[in-house]
Amino acid sequence: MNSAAVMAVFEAVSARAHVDAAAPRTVAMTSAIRREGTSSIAVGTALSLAAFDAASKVLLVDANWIHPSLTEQAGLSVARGLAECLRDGYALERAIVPTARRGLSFLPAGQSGDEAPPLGGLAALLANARHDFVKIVIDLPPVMVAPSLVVPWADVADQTYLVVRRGATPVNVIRKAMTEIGKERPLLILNRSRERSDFWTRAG
Amino acid sequence: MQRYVYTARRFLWVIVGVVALLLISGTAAAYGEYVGTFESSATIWVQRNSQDLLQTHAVQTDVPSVPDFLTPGSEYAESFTQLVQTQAFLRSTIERTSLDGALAASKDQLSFLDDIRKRFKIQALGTNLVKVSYRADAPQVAYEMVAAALTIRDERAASAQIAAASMTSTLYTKELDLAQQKSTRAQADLDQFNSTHKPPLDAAEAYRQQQLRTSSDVAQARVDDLRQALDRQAVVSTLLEVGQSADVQVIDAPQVQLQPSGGLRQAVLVFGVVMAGAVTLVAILIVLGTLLTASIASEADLERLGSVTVVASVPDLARRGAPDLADSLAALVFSSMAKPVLVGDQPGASEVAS
Repeated sequence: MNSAAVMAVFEAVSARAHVDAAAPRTVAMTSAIRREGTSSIAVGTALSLAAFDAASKVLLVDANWIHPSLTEQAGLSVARGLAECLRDGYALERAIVPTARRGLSFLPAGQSGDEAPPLGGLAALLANARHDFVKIVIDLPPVMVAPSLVVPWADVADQTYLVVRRGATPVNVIRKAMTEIGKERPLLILNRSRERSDFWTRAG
Repeated sequence: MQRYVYTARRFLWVIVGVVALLLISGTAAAYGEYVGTFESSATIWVQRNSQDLLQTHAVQTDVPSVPDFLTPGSEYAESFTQLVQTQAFLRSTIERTSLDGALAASKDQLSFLDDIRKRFKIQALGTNLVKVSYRADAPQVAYEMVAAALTIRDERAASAQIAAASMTSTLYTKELDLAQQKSTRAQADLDQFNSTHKPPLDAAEAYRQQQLRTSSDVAQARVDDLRQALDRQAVVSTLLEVGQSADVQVIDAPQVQLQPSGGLRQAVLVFGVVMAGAVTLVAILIVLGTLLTASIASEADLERLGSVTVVASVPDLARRGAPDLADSLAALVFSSMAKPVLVGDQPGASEVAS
């Protein structure tokens, strides 16, 4: 699959992040339960955002300490990252690594250890990141698995998307997840849709 | 289909538990069936009399022009199978074994006999060979049942033959009695005529005397014929009895099998039934689990959740034959990445390549 085809899949999500009246700069992605495809959608959205405007710098953050799949795929399992920035005050610019895509950088999860890093400094960290990056896409763990690792991010992010996998996520779990996130009008992304391809591009 | 797969994954450990439980119990039941089954069998050689060699069995064929020739083996096996279907035969057999007490003590004797019936197996091994076997929980019982069944069958065949022979004998005896009466009467008529008519006899008297003598001779001849027929019948019965014993010979007599045998098929059957039950149970679990936990099928379903905004739908690329999306994305973003600062490195000692 070529890059254009991959990014085309996520144009709807990135377009919304661009043209939304609220002009969100920080977009968090979570799901109700595991294996919903959140990480893939986060990467795709970040890619699409980076391609949308060549001048825009986009940061992809792996905040999923439960299962840091993006960090593992990047081969950065032992690298310093978000956890060190929050816990040890490690310099953000040192933890961020550029990716193979122009304009897209990546902040690995870091070593969370037995206890989750303190999330009190999230707002400051994001404010710091906003200096260098126009858009920030955050990959979060499932909200029903680790709500304590999701809700603080949802509070500081401009928008929080709940990824729902077609035919898999139970409806009652989706409702509980929306309640946990606590937004008045939750933003949902339907993953693995079987509807016509021109249907999903209507969003935004 | 996807939601069923999801439910299966969700209840994976329950499914694994159910399958494991049934697998263990099925294996244990099958093993118990195998090691607790003892089969005893007898192999019988059957040879039919030459006049019956081409006996046909039209009932078993759909094409009247093509007769179904019954071999001696299959005929014997079929008749034995029919015998086993009868309660009387089974009762007679059981009475001669150590199961006699169990049958008497059984509250449901019909079920007991039915169980006994299912344990018999009669096979025609070839044109002339028949195998009669019995499965039991104890080696001695299996041996006793086969031996008793063969004995009862032989006794029944013999008694039927004797009955047929005695019927013929009775018929001949009655005819002989009648013929003897006729002969006595004819002789008495002749004697009376001779006593009342002294020679010389005229032509009419001589003709009458000749008639009476002929009648007496014919009656006596009839008596002699019937006596011969009776003697022949006795000889034929004896010959048939001898011939029958030569026609049905037990080649391999039943023996007490101390090693478990004959239970493999039942064990496989038990295991198969339990596994089929496990599959059915898992299928029911998955279907019920899926129905009870409704999931989202389309954007319309999402919008029915209430006050939500559906931002986008990401198509299912996997079902269009595309490679894994996550791998494609990872390859696009993370290939040829710069070396990061690793844990254990001195902060500031290594700069991130840009």
